[in-house]
Amino acid sequence: MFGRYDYSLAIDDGILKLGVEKRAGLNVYYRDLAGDHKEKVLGPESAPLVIHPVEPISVPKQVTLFLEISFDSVLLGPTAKKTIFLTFPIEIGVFLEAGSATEMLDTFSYLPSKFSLYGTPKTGVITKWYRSRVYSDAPTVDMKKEGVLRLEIENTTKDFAEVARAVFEANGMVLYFDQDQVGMNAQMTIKSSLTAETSFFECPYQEGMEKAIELRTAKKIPIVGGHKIIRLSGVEVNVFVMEAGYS
Amino acid sequence: MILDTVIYRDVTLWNLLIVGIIMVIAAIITQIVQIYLKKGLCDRLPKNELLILLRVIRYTIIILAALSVLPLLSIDLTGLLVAGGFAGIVIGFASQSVVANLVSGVFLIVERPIKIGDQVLIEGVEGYVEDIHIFSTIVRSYDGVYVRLPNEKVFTNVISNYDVDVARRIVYRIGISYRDDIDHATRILRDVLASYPYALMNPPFELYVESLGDNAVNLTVLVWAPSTEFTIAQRELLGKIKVAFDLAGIEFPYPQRVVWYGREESERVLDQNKRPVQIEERENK
Repeated sequence: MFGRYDYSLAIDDGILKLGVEKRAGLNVYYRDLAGDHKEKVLGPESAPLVIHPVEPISVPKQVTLFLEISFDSVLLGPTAKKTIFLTFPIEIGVFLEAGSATEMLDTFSYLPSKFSLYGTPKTGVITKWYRSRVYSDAPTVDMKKEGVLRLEIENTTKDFAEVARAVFEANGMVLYFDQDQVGMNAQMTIKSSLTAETSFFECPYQEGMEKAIELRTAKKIPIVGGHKIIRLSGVEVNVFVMEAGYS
Repeated sequence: MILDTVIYRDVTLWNLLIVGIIMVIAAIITQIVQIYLKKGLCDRLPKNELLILLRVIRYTIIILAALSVLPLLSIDLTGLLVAGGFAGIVIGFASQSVVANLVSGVFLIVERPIKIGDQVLIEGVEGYVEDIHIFSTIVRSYDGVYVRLPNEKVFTNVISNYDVDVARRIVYRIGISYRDDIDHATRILRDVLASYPYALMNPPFELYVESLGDNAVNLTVLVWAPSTEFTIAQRELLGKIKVAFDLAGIEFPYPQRVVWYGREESERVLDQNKRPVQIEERENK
């Protein structure tokens, strides 16, 4: 599904209808998914349409820049490291390219959305919430609906740490995909009994995966507070500080 | 000494030097205060208003410095003070509200109980804060009316700001018929809340029987929603609850009353095992 198409694109998988059709001499992009319909007249006579997985923060509308994944708790020993695999909801972005410019036409998702509050109403943040199982290896999932998140958890404290959720900020979120899967590669560093830091690696967890278009770049999403920027191996990394706990 | 040279009346060169030094110090203080205020207020105040405020502060300091050095120049302020005092009282009374609004405006900018774009309720005016000026605050009410509130009113009144926190709680009180199954109704409510995106997972929603009313079993639903989506969530959820209850055949009862007709004692004894006559009085809401 993900890739680059021309205006002859027409997808109909029984749930989703998506494509471009000629109406009264105009090229009209259309998308129909579970009763949600969208249309847009395309100005250019021909231009590449790009369909990529995007950061899961835009459907049904952009309410937050944070993704929270809740999972069965994982107990880590003092100063221990553990890599787990989780799943996250996929949002699909449709872009129109012209030269070096990229314009977002549409975002949609096969999965229902759910929001949550991380922290208190006064100091917390609204998150896009998703419940995942915990896997030891990358699971096989329906790539139209779910992606795979590889999460390296490091407990830097001298106590046991029970981790049951991870909150990520869209700034720094990088999605990669190939023919079989969509993935993200992230880390979580437990700093104390209450705080942890999360960030994304600027590389896929598996060779050969292609980097997806970043929605925050295409939509010019502003950088928000609640995060800090650190340098890891000479590269600037956005880190979100989970100050309201991780269990 | 040359500094004792009299320029005119009792004013010596030394006096002039002191006057010069005081004015230079005043100018330096003005600069420092301006730089400090510029840094602190540049992102809180429109540029033109910041310039006016800085100008007012600059002239105030310079005028105060000038007044303080006038005796060194042998200028008698006694007459000026009498006239100035009287004028001051008049001007003071006249500009009382202006000054109050200005001071309140400064405190509003420093304390920041509201900011542009917030949804607020101030003195019965509900809407979006469109602008915060030095003397007044502009609120655009939900029906599109431009409302100018003097800052003194804003500062001294109770301000309800709906957007300070990221989440707000929706409260519904829903009455179901005594004939309906409470567990069934709460199951339906749980399903509706679980499937609605803006009904937050955390804090979790609460459902409970609040009271056994005259006409209905009253259920209370407490559910949190993002502040930005509060109004839409409040409206949509209620509609979804109604549709779900209709589909499940759960009734929202009308007010009703059981009426007993007075009868002879003997008839009542004969009919004691029968149920009373029940008439439902339905009222159109």
